[in-house]
Amino acid sequence: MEITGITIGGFKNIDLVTLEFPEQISALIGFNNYGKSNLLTGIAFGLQFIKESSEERRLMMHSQVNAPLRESLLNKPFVFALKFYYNSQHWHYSYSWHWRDSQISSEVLSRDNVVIHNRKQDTQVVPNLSLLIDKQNSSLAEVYQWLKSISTFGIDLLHNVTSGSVICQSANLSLAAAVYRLQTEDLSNFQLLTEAYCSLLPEIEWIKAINKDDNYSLQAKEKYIKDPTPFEYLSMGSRRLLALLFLAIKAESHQVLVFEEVETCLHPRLIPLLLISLSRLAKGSRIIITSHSPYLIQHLPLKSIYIATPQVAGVAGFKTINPALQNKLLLQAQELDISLGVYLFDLLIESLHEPELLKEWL
Amino acid sequence: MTTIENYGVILFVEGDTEEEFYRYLIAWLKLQGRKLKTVGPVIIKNLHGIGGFKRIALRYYLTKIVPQQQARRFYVVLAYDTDVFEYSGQPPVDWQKVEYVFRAYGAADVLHIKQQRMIEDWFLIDLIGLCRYLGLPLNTVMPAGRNANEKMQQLFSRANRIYYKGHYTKRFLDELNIGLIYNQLHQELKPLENLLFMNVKEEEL
Repeated sequence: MEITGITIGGFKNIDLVTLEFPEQISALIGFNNYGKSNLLTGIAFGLQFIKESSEERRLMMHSQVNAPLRESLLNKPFVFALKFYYNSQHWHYSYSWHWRDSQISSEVLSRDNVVIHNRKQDTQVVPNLSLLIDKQNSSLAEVYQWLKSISTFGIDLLHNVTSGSVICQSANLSLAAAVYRLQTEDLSNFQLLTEAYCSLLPEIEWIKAINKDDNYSLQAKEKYIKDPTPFEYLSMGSRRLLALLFLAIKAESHQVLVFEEVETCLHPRLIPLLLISLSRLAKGSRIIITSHSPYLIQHLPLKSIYIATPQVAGVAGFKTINPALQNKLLLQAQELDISLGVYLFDLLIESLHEPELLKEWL
Repeated sequence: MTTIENYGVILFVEGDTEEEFYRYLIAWLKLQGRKLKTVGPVIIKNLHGIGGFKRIALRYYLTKIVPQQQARRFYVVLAYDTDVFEYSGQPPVDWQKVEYVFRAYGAADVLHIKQQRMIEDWFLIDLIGLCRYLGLPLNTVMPAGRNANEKMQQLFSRANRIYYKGHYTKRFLDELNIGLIYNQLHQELKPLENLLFMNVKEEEL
């Protein structure tokens, strides 16, 4: 199973945005306070809703902080859709409901464009806050179960990571405790984590998690230093890197990883290596990142870069460069001897005062 | 008797992988008794990712090589993959433009080693050596993949390792049979070999 796209709408300042995933990693770029974080939060919210009980769903539908505030979006329903590929077939699952309401207004599952379930037409009685995919006994149980198993990782990752930073909100596990668990219960993945971490930071020879009476801590052995170094003494970038790699391993496959400003505190040389590491460790998962770094963006294909469109009345939208113009843009960057990242960020800066300059590429 | 000359050679490569490979190759050819044509410096300059090829290479040439050009001429060799690989810098480098600038800076000549296949194809020639390094059975079958980079990734993954294209290659190059690889790549490496080493007939004179 492979997630190939996500649509989100009616969430905070998001009207309706669809992200297609032609590659494993996609990026969102745009100004601060534009809506990149809202989009990532919305994805986490939409996936979490599927997994929750009816009571939790009701609470989520009445959540004040997530409902749209912009006037033009006030009556927009929350819309969430997933496109995925399974058993050589293209699937599409979506649901929607109105904020402060107490029933799901639509839910559709289709396979190769043929509708299998449509909530409005379904004759079966479904309680207001139950989803059709809550059903246990169905020939599609495997698909339902998978949809309900998709989680987001990384949404709460802080910039200043410490041993005690909570890394798995659902399990309330700190980074040190989570690494300790990996070290004692899943040696193969712990070795992979160590391999990736020490490859990216060659000055570090190994890392280790320690448990003393349920007090967890992390240590690293640095070259040219005799004794192991407490994790907290490592640089901010080194600490955050371990958390990023750990989350990628934790996500394994078929999940969604979301990282804000993934390049924070990292040297540009590490950026392509980090992208390789994340994609290898998280295998079949989708990774959505936000970035303010031309260095990072130059390493991604244009079709995977979503650019914030000029706002109208505070509403955020994201689009890729028009596929018909992508080669032209790359040729222009080549002609100007600048990277793809610099070209796109220049466009974004210019679009602050001249939105048309960006719009003509979208 | 062939006269030994005094020119410099600067070989620009994309990353650690290539830097180490060419170092090993030159050392191996010397070990085979091949004699250098020049007493001038032979520099291998790692550009750490193709994205920096033009900018970093030209800056290096301008600051380090141009001041030496009054004393001796310099040849520039550009070694690069012709394929675009995942997470490589964009847009791709316009090699003709790069050559043009080096010539404008006074390079005696600019040679291209176009790795038509990826450098990973070269490493995979010695699959047994790679398996030995990774601790895999020596009869491991070549993994499937759309290209050599993917095959290398698969191979490393079987050993619970990650392959980073262009980086940290030294550890496994120790295990590779450079002679085996050289014998299959003789034609592709010929421009560099001709620039650096006397040919066998000259050596016999």
